Amino acid sequence: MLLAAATLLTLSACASGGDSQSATTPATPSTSGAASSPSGSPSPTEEERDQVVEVRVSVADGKVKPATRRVEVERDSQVRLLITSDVDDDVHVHGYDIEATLEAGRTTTVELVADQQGVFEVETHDGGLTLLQLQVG
Amino acid sequence: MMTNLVTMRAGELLAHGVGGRDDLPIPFTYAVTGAAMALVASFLALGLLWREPRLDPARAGRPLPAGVARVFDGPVVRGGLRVLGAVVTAYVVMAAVFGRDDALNPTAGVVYVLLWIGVPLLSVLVGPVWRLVSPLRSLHWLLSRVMGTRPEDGMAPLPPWLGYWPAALSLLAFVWLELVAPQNTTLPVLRTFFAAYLAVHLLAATYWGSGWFARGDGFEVFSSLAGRLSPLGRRTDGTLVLRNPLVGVAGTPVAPGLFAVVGVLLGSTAYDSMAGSPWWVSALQSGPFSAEVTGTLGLLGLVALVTAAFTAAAALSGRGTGRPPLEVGGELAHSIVPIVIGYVVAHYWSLLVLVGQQTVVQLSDPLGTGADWLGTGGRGVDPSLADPTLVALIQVTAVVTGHVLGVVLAHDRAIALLPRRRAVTGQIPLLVLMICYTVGGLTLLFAA
Repeated sequence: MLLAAATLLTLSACASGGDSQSATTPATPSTSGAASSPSGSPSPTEEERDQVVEVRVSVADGKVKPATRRVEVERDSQVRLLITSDVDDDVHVHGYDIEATLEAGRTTTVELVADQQGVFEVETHDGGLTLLQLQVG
Repeated sequence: MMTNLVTMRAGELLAHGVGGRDDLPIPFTYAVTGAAMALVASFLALGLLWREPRLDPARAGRPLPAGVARVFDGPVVRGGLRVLGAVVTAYVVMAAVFGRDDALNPTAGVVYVLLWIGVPLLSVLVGPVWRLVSPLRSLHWLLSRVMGTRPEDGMAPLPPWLGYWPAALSLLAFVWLELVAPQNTTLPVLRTFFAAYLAVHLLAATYWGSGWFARGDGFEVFSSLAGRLSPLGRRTDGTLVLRNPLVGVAGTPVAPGLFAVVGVLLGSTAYDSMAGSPWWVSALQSGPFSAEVTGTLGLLGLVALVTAAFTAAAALSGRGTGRPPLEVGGELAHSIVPIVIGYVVAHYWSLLVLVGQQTVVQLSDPLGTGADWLGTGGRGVDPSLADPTLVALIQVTAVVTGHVLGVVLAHDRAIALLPRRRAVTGQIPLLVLMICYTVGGLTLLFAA
């Protein structure tokens, strides 16, 4: 159990390290691929609160890219999910109860204000894939 | 999966689909503090606790006044509870058979939250309630009356070697449904499972008599084990007493397979924890097997790991008693019960609070017709008992409390079981195991 738990700890730490995929960008629409961790700056300032946590994820051949990860955001931050799928589907943000339609080959943008604490799955309906987990702390 | 059930937004029910929320990981300092407390308590207990067994289920406790006991055990209370169990069950079956199969149907919430989590936790407070309301027992009683037999008499006595193994299997089937089975919150799946459950247990009870339920019905065995922690209990001779909950647990009937029951409960809860971590979700979605196969392997793997670790530790602790390790394991298995309950509370607290309330709201409209039969339909879900800081505190407190109670129980049994010379050193393997369980549990709460 201990061994398994230790392994789990390591693996999980790696998985949530996937934060680097979520770039903090100005509120103006941007497709900047530059990855900078939102937790990188020492303290959340006015400036940071005005910024949007942008997360990109895509589905191809039934696989999630990047692999399902946990994206940690501060409470009340703006979150923009950019989701691309190679098939038509619906996407559902659990808890926040937001649904959006995915059109094959096109990027769908879902924006939300992370005002509820917890861990929430972002999932496709037909594919039944968990794209990512949004951790609002 | 359980997460499919949770609606988060307070005071508002989802009009469609299902919401979902998991607990935030506990803060690192909580995890470390909890682990340190468990560690220190364990070794303090070893050095400081009593040297002669003290927990005596035959004599301990303060008997309730005779009048109160007579009312408790009287036909009005007993009959009333049976009727209550039958009415509630009939109501839920109506929702499951005639209700709309959508996220507002209360059936899944009743099964996975009120029955699975609520009944055992209620049992911790007031004793083993499920056996008093169990619709399986009531149906079996009715069948026996129709056939003109006594419910206790089957066609054959229950073989002693069977012990709790049937309950372990029955629980394993249910946790598989809860944690792995696809579409497990939909009505056809729930109806199929419970129809099969009913058939198997009624047949078994008809063959072996109503004693079957105490050994075979997973829900009853879980409720009865949890109920051992209640301050309201019975002495070996049946006298109703108020007592130290430790005495109740120490009085758990020893029979083969008890450690398997405990292993299924602890292993499955650990699996549910692990299943919330992104790396396991990834493994389910893109591993070499289908999600069901990977999930089944993961669940069985964790149950096997927890059970095997216990058997090994009990065998090491039991060296020098000259008895087979499984037998020694059986005598010590009750000490894991508080650890199981502590971890169940930690893992399912917010689910019980949020979905429990939501289910009560949904029960008011069982058929999905917009009715408000119970007057609870307009209620919201009050999230204050599921506040993240409070939840983290409850989680760590529950896990550490379970650990400490487990250590004391193991100590009391070990000094009765082991030769005096090895009474202290012989406990070390079991203590190490408990520390592993607890640190493992805290790690899952922190990292998964």
